[in-house]
Amino acid sequence: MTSTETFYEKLKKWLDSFITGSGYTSITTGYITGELQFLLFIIVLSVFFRLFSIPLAIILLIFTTVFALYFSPVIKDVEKENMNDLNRVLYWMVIYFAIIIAITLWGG
Amino acid sequence: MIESISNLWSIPLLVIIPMLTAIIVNFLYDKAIKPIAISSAIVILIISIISPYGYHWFCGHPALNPETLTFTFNPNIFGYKLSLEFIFGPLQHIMIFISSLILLFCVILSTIGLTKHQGPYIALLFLLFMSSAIVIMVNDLYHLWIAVEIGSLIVVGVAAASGTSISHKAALKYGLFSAISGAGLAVSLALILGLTGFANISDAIMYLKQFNIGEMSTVLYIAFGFFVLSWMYAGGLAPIHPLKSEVYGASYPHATTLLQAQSKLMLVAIGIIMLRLFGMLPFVKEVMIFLSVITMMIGVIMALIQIDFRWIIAYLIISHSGFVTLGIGLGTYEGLIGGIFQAVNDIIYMTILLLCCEALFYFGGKTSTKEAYGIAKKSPFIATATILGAIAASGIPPFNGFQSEIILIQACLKEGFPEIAVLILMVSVTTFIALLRGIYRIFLKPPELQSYDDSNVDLPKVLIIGIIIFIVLSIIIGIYPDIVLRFIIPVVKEVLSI
Amino acid sequence: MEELKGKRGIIALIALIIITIGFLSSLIKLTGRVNPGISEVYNALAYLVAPNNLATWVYDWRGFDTLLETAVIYVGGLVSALAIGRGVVQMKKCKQESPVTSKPLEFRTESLTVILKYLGIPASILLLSYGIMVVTGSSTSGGGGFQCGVIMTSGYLLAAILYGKDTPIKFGKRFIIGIGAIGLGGYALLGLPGYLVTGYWQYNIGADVWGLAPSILHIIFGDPFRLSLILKEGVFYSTPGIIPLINIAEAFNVIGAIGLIYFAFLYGWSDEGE
Repeated sequence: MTSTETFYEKLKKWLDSFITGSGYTSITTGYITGELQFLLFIIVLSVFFRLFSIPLAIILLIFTTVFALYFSPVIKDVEKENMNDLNRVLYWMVIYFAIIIAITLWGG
Repeated sequence: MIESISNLWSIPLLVIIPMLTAIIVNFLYDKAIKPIAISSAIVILIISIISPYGYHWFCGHPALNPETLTFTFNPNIFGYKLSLEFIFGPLQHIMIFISSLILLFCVILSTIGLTKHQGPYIALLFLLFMSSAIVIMVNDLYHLWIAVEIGSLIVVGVAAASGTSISHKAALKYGLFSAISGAGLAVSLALILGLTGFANISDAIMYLKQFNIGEMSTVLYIAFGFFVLSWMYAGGLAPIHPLKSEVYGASYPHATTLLQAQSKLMLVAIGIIMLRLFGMLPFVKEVMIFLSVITMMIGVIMALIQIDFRWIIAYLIISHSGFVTLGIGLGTYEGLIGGIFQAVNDIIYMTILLLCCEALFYFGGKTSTKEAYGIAKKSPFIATATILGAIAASGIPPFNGFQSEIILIQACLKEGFPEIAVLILMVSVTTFIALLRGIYRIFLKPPELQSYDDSNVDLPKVLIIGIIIFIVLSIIIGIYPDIVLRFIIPVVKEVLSI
Repeated sequence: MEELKGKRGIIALIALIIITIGFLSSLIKLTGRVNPGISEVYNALAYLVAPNNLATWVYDWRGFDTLLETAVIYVGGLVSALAIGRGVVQMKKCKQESPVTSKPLEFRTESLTVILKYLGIPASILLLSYGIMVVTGSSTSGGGGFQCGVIMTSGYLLAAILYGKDTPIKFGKRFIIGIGAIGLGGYALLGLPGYLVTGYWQYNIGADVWGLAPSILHIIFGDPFRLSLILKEGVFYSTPGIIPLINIAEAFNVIGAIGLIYFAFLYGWSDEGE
């Protein structure tokens, strides 16, 4: 169980992680908005599973929300994964391609 | 209505005139480029306006009617085409008209604003237009591949032309990936050719409809996978978006207008071809929707955390490409109309923003949002235009972005995807936030006293005229969308064969 | 390569295996069941144009495709030279970092052995003449413009590598670019006569398979390249029409484009003087 104090501490730490370091104020707003956007995006994506089964979607929704809050802030990782590094782009392309082929070939 | 002639006069001219102009200006290198380039761009614009609709069968070989075994030059009688077929219909009309308008401004701006030895650069701009015109007109798989290939090579050249290290890196990375996606498209078309035996897209679709392919659908699925690869690459969808946005950000803003127009045209053209070829397979549309949603969200999130106005716009272009592909991926009547309409609108409002960004180069080229420049005081016009562009991009009436986004939202709700409708709204709002961050720092916030310089800047008149034209276009389409929709609706009806 | 170590590497490997299985399974499905489709018609009619089916395919049935392929080579040359420094542009109004340039290669020709020194020139001249021979046989043999261009530029490269700046086969900058321009422009404009007469761009008026062109043009473009096939049944004539001309233009374009790449990479690029 999480007490109010620790949750507050957590939130404070989370906000601090933007402001300290190399961040400056104009970019901080961007990062915080980005973080919230990403959170919402994940939640909306998990809602999508209602197409297959509604209970699954509810469980998934709760799990993703908890996980996303637990692992936050994730925006730095999102930024890192979207860097223009060639190997990284190649890696993601291979993953996407494999998913597309797997879904269409064995799902369809 | 598309006429029943197979030798329409305008199609070869739309391909050959840019090519010959490119050859000439590349050879001349720095002398007498301006009159040749501008007059050629005007001629292209006029042809794109006055051209009637019809087909062109390059090399003049007829079609073979499989039942009677006779040859015919009449495109209305069904036959397997021996020659290479191009179509100029309503979709091509509107798309090529807008691209040639952008080409004209792009060429004038580069002849005014750039240093000498511009021959190769302007040649590349013309070839860029040529490749996008071919992609949207072509009805042949093999030629589509060549057009995508030459298109990506030209994008590399345009990005590298500014000669800075960052643009060289962007160009090299994008060029490296062209090998993968170009080869992917080649593999895909090889598989379709092996399956159907026809390079002409309509013929291949006719074959697939006539004969039950049964267990051979595996081949079609793999072909689809490779096709998607080149779609992602040409349009800058996730996961290739870091490379494409880098190209957009590292090129000069006037060139980016043409680059983004080209990638929107490619998204629409390849997307429609994919829908026609593979639309009947299960899971195909879902894959396209999935890619679009990811691109939309990642693009806008990345735009939020950029610290340079050019890169903010670059990522927003990526994000809004997701709208286009989403509409096409839905594959419904409303969805297709919304997607193609969004492509047209997107080209227009991004052009406003990019031309304003070009104006910043005349104020010293500072586009970073780290410092404040107070440009609104020096040029209230550019500041207003940028804000109007931002409003148009975020889908606020009476601008054009609103019209297509509302169609897309309705299409999503009708298909039973309210979540995607929510995401579209989120992206629209966030677009405004991301742009306003940049606009506030660059235009509105007063600069630090010591860095303020009071010098007057003369903006080229063409730039101002261009911005005004595109804002007016945006408002006209926003108030009276039928002006564009009447070009799009017949095409959508034909694709869905209603 | 840090990104591809550990967990990520394993995931990428699994993904690659999935892709490979999918791709191979589709190829296996397709084995022995490839549909000839339109190519049967193409092959059946190819004799009407050139005796070599390949030439008819590449330069007549799909002649416009080949134009764009040629343009790919041209753009390749243009972009490569641009990356070296030809035609780099900057905004007049704002200061930017100076463009990236590459230095010319350093030649050390003094270590050249005697054999190379004396056999180099004949070898490259031989290559140049072999290129000319290949392009002349474009419509009867497998040769053509692409091959000729590549062979001739390799002769140029051989001489340039062996003798450095004192190479006997010297091309100026404008000369190389001019050759490329003549090549691609010539190829593009060879479609014009057909367009003006029949309305179809790049219609082969010399061969005139479908009888659309007036006979005078058929004679002008067809007769110089007329070929005869002597059989027991009689003598048969056919003409490849504009195919040999296209091949010559093609050769010019390839020499111009690849020559420009070699030139820029060997000597670097400076805009002053020749």
